[in-house]
This record gives sequence, structure tokens and C-alpha cells, in this order.
Amino acid sequence: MHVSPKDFIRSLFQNLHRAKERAGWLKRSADLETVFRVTKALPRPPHPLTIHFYGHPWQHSPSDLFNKRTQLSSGSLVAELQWTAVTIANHADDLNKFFALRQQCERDFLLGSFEAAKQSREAVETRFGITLWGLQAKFLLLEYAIGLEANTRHLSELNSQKNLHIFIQVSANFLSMRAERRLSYDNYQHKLTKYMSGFDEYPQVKSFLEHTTGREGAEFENRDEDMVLYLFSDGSLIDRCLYTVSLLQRLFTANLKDTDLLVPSAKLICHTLHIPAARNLAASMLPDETIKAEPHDFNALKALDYYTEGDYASAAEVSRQLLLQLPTAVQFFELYVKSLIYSGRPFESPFPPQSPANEIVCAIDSVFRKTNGYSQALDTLSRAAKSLHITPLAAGLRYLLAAEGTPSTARRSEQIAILDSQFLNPKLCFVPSKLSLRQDVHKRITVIFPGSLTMDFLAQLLKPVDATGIVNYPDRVNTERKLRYTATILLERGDYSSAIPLLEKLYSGRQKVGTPVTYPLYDEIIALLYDAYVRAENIPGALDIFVDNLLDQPLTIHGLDVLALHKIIERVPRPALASNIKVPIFYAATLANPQSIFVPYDNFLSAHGCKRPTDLLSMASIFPLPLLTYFLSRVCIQKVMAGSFHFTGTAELENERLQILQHLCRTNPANRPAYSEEIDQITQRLFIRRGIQKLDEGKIFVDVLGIRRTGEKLLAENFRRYLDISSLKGIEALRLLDTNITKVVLTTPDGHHVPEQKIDIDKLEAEGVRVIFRSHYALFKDLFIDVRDRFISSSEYGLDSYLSVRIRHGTLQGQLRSRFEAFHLLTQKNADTGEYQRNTYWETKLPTCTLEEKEFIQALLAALSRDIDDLTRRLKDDVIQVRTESRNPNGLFDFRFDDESLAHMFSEEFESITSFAEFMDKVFATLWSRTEEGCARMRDFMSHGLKSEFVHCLTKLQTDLRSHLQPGAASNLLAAIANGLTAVQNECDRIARWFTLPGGTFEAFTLYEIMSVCVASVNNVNPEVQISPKIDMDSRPITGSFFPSFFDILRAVLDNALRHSGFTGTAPQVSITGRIVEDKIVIRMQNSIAPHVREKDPAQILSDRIAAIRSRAVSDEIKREGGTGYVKIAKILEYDLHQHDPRITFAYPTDQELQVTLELSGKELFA
Amino acid sequence: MKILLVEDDQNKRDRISALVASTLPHATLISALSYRSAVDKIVSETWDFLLLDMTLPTYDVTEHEDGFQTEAFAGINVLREMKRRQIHIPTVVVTQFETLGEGVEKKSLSELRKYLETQYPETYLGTIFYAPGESSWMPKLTEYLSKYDKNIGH
Repeated sequence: MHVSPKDFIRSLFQNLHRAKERAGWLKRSADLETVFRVTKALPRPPHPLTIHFYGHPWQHSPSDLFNKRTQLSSGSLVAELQWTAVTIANHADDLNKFFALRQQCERDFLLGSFEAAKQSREAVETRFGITLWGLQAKFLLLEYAIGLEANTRHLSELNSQKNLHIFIQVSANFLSMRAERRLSYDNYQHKLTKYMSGFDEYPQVKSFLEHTTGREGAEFENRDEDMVLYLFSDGSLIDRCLYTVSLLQRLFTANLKDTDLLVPSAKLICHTLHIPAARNLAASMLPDETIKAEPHDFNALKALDYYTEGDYASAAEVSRQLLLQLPTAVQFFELYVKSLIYSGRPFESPFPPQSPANEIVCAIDSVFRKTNGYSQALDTLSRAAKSLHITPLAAGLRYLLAAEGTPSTARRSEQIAILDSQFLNPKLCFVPSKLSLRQDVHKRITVIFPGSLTMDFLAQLLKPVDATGIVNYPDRVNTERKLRYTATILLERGDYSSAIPLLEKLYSGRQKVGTPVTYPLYDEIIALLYDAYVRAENIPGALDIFVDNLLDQPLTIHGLDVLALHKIIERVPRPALASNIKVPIFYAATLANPQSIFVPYDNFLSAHGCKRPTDLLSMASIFPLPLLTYFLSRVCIQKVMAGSFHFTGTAELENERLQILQHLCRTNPANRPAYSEEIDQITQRLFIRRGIQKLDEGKIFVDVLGIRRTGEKLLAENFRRYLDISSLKGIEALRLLDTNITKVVLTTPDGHHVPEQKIDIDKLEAEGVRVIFRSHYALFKDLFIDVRDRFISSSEYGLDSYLSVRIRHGTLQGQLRSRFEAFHLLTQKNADTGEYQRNTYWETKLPTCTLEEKEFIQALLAALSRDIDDLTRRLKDDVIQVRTESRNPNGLFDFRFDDESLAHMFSEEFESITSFAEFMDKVFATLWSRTEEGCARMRDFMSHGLKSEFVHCLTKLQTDLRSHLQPGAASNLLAAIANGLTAVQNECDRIARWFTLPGGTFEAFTLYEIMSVCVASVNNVNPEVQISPKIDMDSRPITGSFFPSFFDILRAVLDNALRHSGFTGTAPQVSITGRIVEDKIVIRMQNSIAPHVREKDPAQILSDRIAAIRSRAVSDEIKREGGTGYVKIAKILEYDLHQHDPRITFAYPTDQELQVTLELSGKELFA
Repeated sequence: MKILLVEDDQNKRDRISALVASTLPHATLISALSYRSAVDKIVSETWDFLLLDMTLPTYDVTEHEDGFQTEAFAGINVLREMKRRQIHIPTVVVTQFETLGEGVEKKSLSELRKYLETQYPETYLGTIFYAPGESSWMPKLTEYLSKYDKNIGH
């Protein structure tokens, strides 16, 4: 669109109040040249009109940044880029001065001259005001020169300023973290990702903040770039310019369509800025641009030529000098370190010992030499790349890191690093994607460096695929290099069949050079040969390279493109590959998903006629031992084997794994400790599972022996009285009595009660009616009901007591709630208000819901919490109760006995019994039978009634959500409900199994084992907060029959630690020790407590509670359900473990910890 | 018609069973409660139709078995095992999830449909979203059942 600059400016002056809109119109509508001409006709800053074109380029207070919207967004990347290019062009001198100061600052920083770097940074601030660049540089300098405290203090100072825009608040917070030396890259990214998820609904703001604080280079997606550029227009021009340069680098390496439209703006920027990045962009992307060289470019090429021809000593020397001059160039680090390695010289850092550059060069050396410190070195480099953020060196380091681990991003990272080179990098010719453009760049660089061996070599790589001809290398290039260069050229041209023999020759000649066993050239040969095999689809060849080196020196295969090999293997079924043991090994080494490893695992076993890995052991000799060892140890893990239908359950899987590990212990003794540790872990898991299962099955219990022991005297006395009366019995006795008597109970053989009437003895005899004397029956009934009451109600030994301790006291509610809590569906009730707390999890997880919808969801979730709690409370208070004639009308353990049935039982089963023991056995058998009936009712209720009530609650919630919300608005929540639905049904079935009579016996156990079972159990019911205590226990075996009692005690203490320590959302730190001296056990559990809990003095409260319990009968207390559970613990100690003077004490080892000590003694405790 | 219903959720299993019984009274419906029992039944018997849940435990959850693990895409693994063994049973996926999996593996129902259409064109017929409190899944399932019942000659 043609616009007359003068007319436009005139219209601006005529409509000053609409100047912003007019400028916005111009931005949207005009081409670059017009915008440029208009700005040239503008009055000079600080005329107020200019802000609608340039914003406020230099801002002198952090609170000014981004706080004014001086311009309008165009919605077009081309328009925003034009606008920015013109702004940059109109501030060229200032920006170039900034870049000179920045170069100086970064150089001084890397060399450890922090004071000099500080001066350069301050010079920028004095002259150009506050910038994000300056903020980052300040954090970095404070962190390195003084330390973290100075870094964070500066952040506090900054945050204390008023009116800071959120961009500055967030950016400063994260830039401070970026600068932190001890904060790893992964940790930083985790924090950033978590924080940024809060901006999901504001993608443009998120993109902006991600650029200023986080992702960069190849990892950064191209999205919302126009808006980010627009948002930068109200910050400092320096940040806007830095962003623009990095944006151009990313855009031109992203293979996007229509980048031609960006070229005019890119050209203007490249002409304006006198920095390597601009020169490199022009050289590689703008074909008609003449490339200019600086003096150090010639030195750089000299170093590269030395390296190419194999004169590594000279290459090392020249690159060393270059490094001191330009420590911001990663290519010189690489060149220097590799040259040292190839020349056989030991590593020597050119930098001052305490400088950041020294740390980096040492790490690079370690990475290239693959020393033992390799992983740590990678970590150092990733931290450095994080801290240096958007500097050229950081871009280079990111490429080095990608090359070591993620080939998929390495290519683009390298392109960006090349564009950020601080010298005229000959590899610029590899940046464009088109061959003709590449050749053009090469041609223009070669003009500057005629006769360069490096440029000659690159020329060969840039020849078309069908090019022929042999490269003539100068004599001084050694044979190995010649072979490698030729192979590289052939590969680039796609002539794999010619390249592979050359590379195989190099590969077979590789030798181990002591420790470390590898160095870069061999890594490169491995990478080239692997690449050649993959491209030629020689799968066995590629597998050999990968797997042989995996077993030999795993660090050498870090950068191989494994995805390419996966694709080839999976593209067409190749039966011949199935029997190759290297296929499953390759999959296990490169993929994390066990399901993806399963197919090659199963194919391999089937190809050898095996169903399970242990079937393979009989033919072990046909496989090389290292391969079989790897296969068995890394491939045949439970999660992979779980894909096979040849295993019928978890126990079989674990047994298979145990057999594999036992085999490995024999065949690979060097790794025995690791195998033994895994065997221990599996054994432990088996024990825990078995223990929990037995505990589940043993929840219904009555201590019949205890009842007999404590009641023996009274019961036996009553039984004697009962026997005394029994001398009168039967029809014969009736004949001796007054025939008018009617006070007898009569039952016919079929059990029917015969109403009292005048007795016709002969008739009765003829009918077979049995006669029971009321007095005799009355004594029987008393005795029976007495035993029944003890059986069901004894606080120490009775059914109700065990139902209370093992089921009703928290366990049941916790268990049921846990299934919902695992999916974040329930919240706790606020004790003060009676309201259910807001569900903070789903509040943050439903970004697309409106506020109104969120409130609606909260209301539904609160209702669900209430419904579930009501249901479990009803279950606990009404259903899981013992019903008698006078109590608990809804209890499913029905122990009512009416006269009719009792009388029948008496005459049929008891009347003839004369032995107390036999009598008691019979009564207990009857009561156990009733218990079993109650259990059956409970099982039925849990599996049907309760289950359907839960299903109803969740289904209703799901229906309400789906009918009120937009489709897809709460899909995560709906998925959680669906998961919860299945899980709670399974849980009901599991809880139903609690209601079985004890059958099995427990094997002897150690304190460690019982503690592991307790931890697993507590974690099972608290899915959101998992505890992982430090456990140190003596190992003397304890009698198996005490297993449930120890479990109940220790679990209750552990549960208290978790529930009452005062931490929300995190678990307390717990450590447990168990000491056994002679016949005494002392268990100490120590857990961290929150300050507000400590303030209440829990040790004193609990001590008082224990004293109160001991001062009165436990039976009074036991009926109270809830609280801390120490009453139950006291009961178990006294009655189940026969501890007549149990000691439970409480103390504070430190002000933040509570310690509980339990002391038990007695020979019978031990197996 | 012999139908295998692979479903671990009892309530959903009951409702689908009831629908099958009312739609195809002559059909025999057998249930498998896990990935493993599904593969076992598929390999050892012949089936005319498969109703497949997507998220399943590895093993049937019983008194002595906790299921080992619950896989978000266990149904895909069942289809994969069928394909590996060249067993072609017309399959309808019935899931109560609008999105499945987590993190990078997360798939919406439409993504799942596309994936299954591409990977298992020989067996995969379609996916039905099952909402326990609604009946919208019923006509769709009835339609599939009726159509395949005719196809196999009943």
C-alpha cells in the first residue's frame, strides 16, 4: 500500500488523540519501505508521537517495563517484524554500542573477571536503562561473585518495588533461579512448567513468559510469535532486539513456508546490527549478501584447517588463543578439547581456575573423553546452559548436550549454534535446507578463505548425490582421517554401499586406549557406521553396533538415532530378526514403555520355542553370556513379562523373576549384589502382600482362649449348677413328678414349640416329644447367653472389640476413602464450619472451565464427599455392628437367640453334654457359626448393597457434570471418576473379604518385615501422601501368632504420625528403630511435627491420656471410636500381647520431632 | 453368536451384559476381567465378536491377586496380541473415558479412534463412549451387535 509519509505525519498531527490507532493502521497495512520512510519523517524522540512507533526504548525503572501499551497489535508476524526492524534501524548506534558492551560483559564474566563484567553491565544500565538482559546479568554476577544469598536478596529488593508488571515479577523470579548454580536444569524446568501451567488459558502471555524465562533454541515452538514480538514493544528495545535476532534464527531453521515475506525485515536488521549473529544470518539466509570477515575469522579458519589436516597440536594452540579472546564461542571449546585429545596431550584448561569458562571446558573434556565424571559433566553443562540462558555460548552448549543425548533435536540445535557462532563459521553453509543455497553460502565464504582445506572438504560434502570423483587430500592428512572424510562424503551423497566398507575398516580397527576406553574419533565412527547401516537398512549391522557398544562402553551410543532404527524394524515384519537376541536388548535399552519391549521379547522367546525366560536357560550356551545376561537382567523384568499370557498372576511373575535372578547370581557373580538386592526386594514384596492378605482375612477375630481363661471360674461354677439340675430330665423324670405340672418346655422332633398345656405323658411319649425342665433350660440359657455376651462384647477379647480395633477404628473409612482420594475426588470436612474444604486439586486442573462452572464442580465434589462420609459412617455405626435382642437393630452380625431356637438347640445339642470343656466348645461352635453368618451378610452387603450405593454416588456425579458442562470441559475429572468407579467396586470386594473367619496361621516375622507391612498398609490408604520411613530394626524372629497384634499397634502409631503431625500435602519425616535385648523389645518411632502441633505439647497430652487409660478399665475407653488410637494400642498390649506393665512414652528428641517409645517383654514373644 | 466382553468394572459389565441379553437373546456372552484373561480366551477359543474395554488390570483382581497394574491402553495391547497372532475378531471398544492415559501418551477419544483405525483396520469397528448414568451408548452398541449378528448368519 502506498502511503505518503508527509501526508501520514500530517494526519497524525491533526488527530493527535488518535495517533495510536493511526500508527496501528500503518503497522497493519504498510510495507517495510513505507514504514521506514514514515519513521524517517517523524519528529525525533522524545516527541510524544514517537512512542506509538518505538515504544519507550530505554526505560529507567523496573516498574516502567511493560506497564504502558503504547501501540496496537497487528496480528501479523510480518507486520510486527517490519515494525521492529524499522525501530531497530532507527536506533542502530545505540544498539551496536550495547552489543559491544554485552560482548565485553559476557567475556569478562566467563573469564572470571566479575568486577569488570559488572562495570560493563552497569554501563549498559546507565546508558540504556533497565532491561531483562541486565536483570539476568546482575543475578548471574551476584550468584557467581558473591553467592545465592546475594542473588535472592536482589530478587527481594526487586519484588519490593511497587507496580511491577507481572511480566517483570515472573521473569525476575525465574531469571534469579536460572542464575542459581546449584539448581539443576531439570529442576528449573519442572518448576517453570508447573508455574506456566497456570497460564494455559493465556497462551500468548505464556509464550512471552516462556521466552523470557525458559525454553529456547530448538526446544522452543514457533507459536504466537507476532504477539510475543508485540508484547516486547513496551519493554526495553534491547530485549526486543535480542528476541528478534533469536526469533529470526529460529524461524529460518524451522523449515517454515513463506519465510520470503520475512526477508526484507531480516535484511534491514542484518544490515543494522554489527554483531556475529546478524552477519551469520545474512550469510546463510540472504543469498545476495556479501560476507565480510573480521581478523579473528582468519585465525578461526587457520585452527580449523590444522584440525582438518590432522595437525592437532597446532589446532590446539590456535584454538586456545581464540578461546581466551572469544570464550563465548562453543566451537572453540570443542575444537580445543578434541585437538588436545587427538594430539595425545593431557587436558589443560586455558582459563583461570575459578572462572565459569574453566568449569565449562573441564566438563566438555570429560564429556568428549567419556570419563567416569561423564554424567556429572553433562549436568555441569546443562546448568551452565541454563544460567547463561540466551547467550551464544548457551546456544552452543545446548547443541553439545543434544548431540550427547537427543539426536532428534541435535540437528536444529546445531544450526542455531552455528548461527550464533562468534566467528565466520564455515559450517554456515549447512544451515539452509536447499542444496543450491548451501552451495551458494559455501561459495561466498570460500571467496574469503581461498585454498582452505576445510572449505575444500565441505565442498565435497555439498556435491549432489550423483556426483563422482575422488577427493585428493594433502599428504599431511593421515590415512584414518582420509578414510573417515571419504566415508562421510559418500554417506552425504547416499552411497552407503561404498561408505560402509570404509567405516567397517575403521570400526574394526578401533582399539581401547586404557581407561577411559573411548575418545571422540571412535564415537564419531560408531555414529557414522550406525547411521550408514540404518540408512542402508542393514538392521543386524546397526544392532551389532548399538548392542556391542552398549555392553562395552554405553557412553559411546548416547547420540545414536535410535528412533530411525525402531522405524525400520517395525515397518515390515522380518521373521529372521525375531530370533536375534539383540532386538529385545535394543528395545529395552532405548524405550521406557514395557509394552513396547514386550513384542520383541515375546517374538524372541517364541522363535526359540520358549514361553518363559526360564525355558531359555536350558539352551543358555547358544547365546553369548553378556547378551544373555543383559536380556535376562534388563529385558525380562516383571513389567515386560506381564504382557505374556503364559503367566497367570503376579505371584508367577515374581517367581519367574526370582528364578532369573538366582540364575544370574550364578552366571554373573560380579553383579551378584545388585541381583541379591532385587531378590530381597521381591521377597519383601511377597511377604508384604502375603501379610496384608492374611491381615485382611484375619480381621474377624475373637480371643476364645482369653474368654475361657478369664471367665473360667464363673462359667465353670454356673455349669456345675446347671449339671446339678440336669439329674431331672426326660419323660422318665416327668413320670416321677406331679403330672399336673405344666412348667416344662416341650419340643417336638421337628423342632416345633408346643404351647404349655396339661401334660399327657403317654401321648407325649408316643409322639416322641422331648421334655425340658424350665429350671434346667433356664440355667442353660443363662450360661449360653453369658458366654455369648463375653464372645461378642468382651472389651478385651470379644468380637465387637476386634471389629472396633481392626475395622471400624479408622481402617474402614480410610480404606474406602483412599480409593476416592487416589483420584482426588474427596476433601476433608472443616471441623469448625462443618463445610467440606474446596477441592484445590481440581480447581487448578480444569483451565477451560469458567468460574461459574468451577463453583458448580466444587459444589458437586463437596456433595460427593458428604455422601461418601455419610455412607461410611452409616456402615460403621449401624451396619458393622453386633445385633442382640436389645442393641443395634441394623447390625449385620446377628447374635439374637429366641427361646424357641435356644430350647431346640438345648434339647438337640446340649442336654446330653456333661463336660464343661465340651459344653464350651459347643457354645463357641454355635457362636462362630453365627459369626460366619454375619460375615456372609457383610460380604453380601459390601459386594452388592454398598457397592451399588457408591456406584450410584459416582454415576450421579458423572451425569451431573456431563449435563451441565461443555463437552470436554472436565474430561480429566470425568476420567478420574471413571477410574474411581472401578477402583471403589474392587475395594468393596476387597473389604468384603475382611469378613472371613480366621483360617491360616502367620509365620514367624521380624520387626523389619512387620514394619514394611505397616508402611505399605498406611501408604495404601493414604495415596496422596506417601511416607518412606528410615527403618533400622533388629532381626530376631517374633512368634507368628502375634503378627496381627504387632501390626495393629505399629500401624496405629505410624498412622498417627501421618495424620497428626500437622503437615498438609506432604508426609512427615519418620524414622523407626527396633532393638531387641534378651527378651525385651524397644521400638522407637520418631516423626517430624509442624510448629503448630508442637505448640500444643502432644507428648504431654498423650502421656496424660496413657495415664488416664491405665487408671481405669480399658473397657470403658474401648467403646470410644476415633481419637489417636492409643486406647486400642493399650488394649492390644495388655490383652493380646499379655503385657501387664506395658510402657508407652513420648518425648521430643528435637523441637521439631515427636518420639514414641514402646517397650514390650516376654519370652513368648519370640519364635 | 459368541461374544467376549473384556471388562473389569462390574457395574459396567452387568449393564452391558443386560443389553446384550436383551438385544441378542441367543448370544453367548463370556466375560474376561483383565488383559491376561482376555488374551488367554482369545487365543484358546473362537469368538464372533469382541467388546473391549480400554483400561484394564493385567490380571483378574481376586482374593489373592491385586491385578499387578492397571494399564490405560491395555485394550490396545489386546488388539496388538490379536494382530500378532492373526486373529481377526470384529471389535468394538467400549470405554468410559473421554481421555485416556497421562502425559505424552494422553489420547482423546477421537485420537484413539484414529489410532485404532490406522493400526487395526482388520478388526476395529468403532469406539463407544459409555457413561454409566446415561443410555446414549445403548443404541450404538445395539446397532453394532445387530449388524454383526446378521453378518454371521443369525
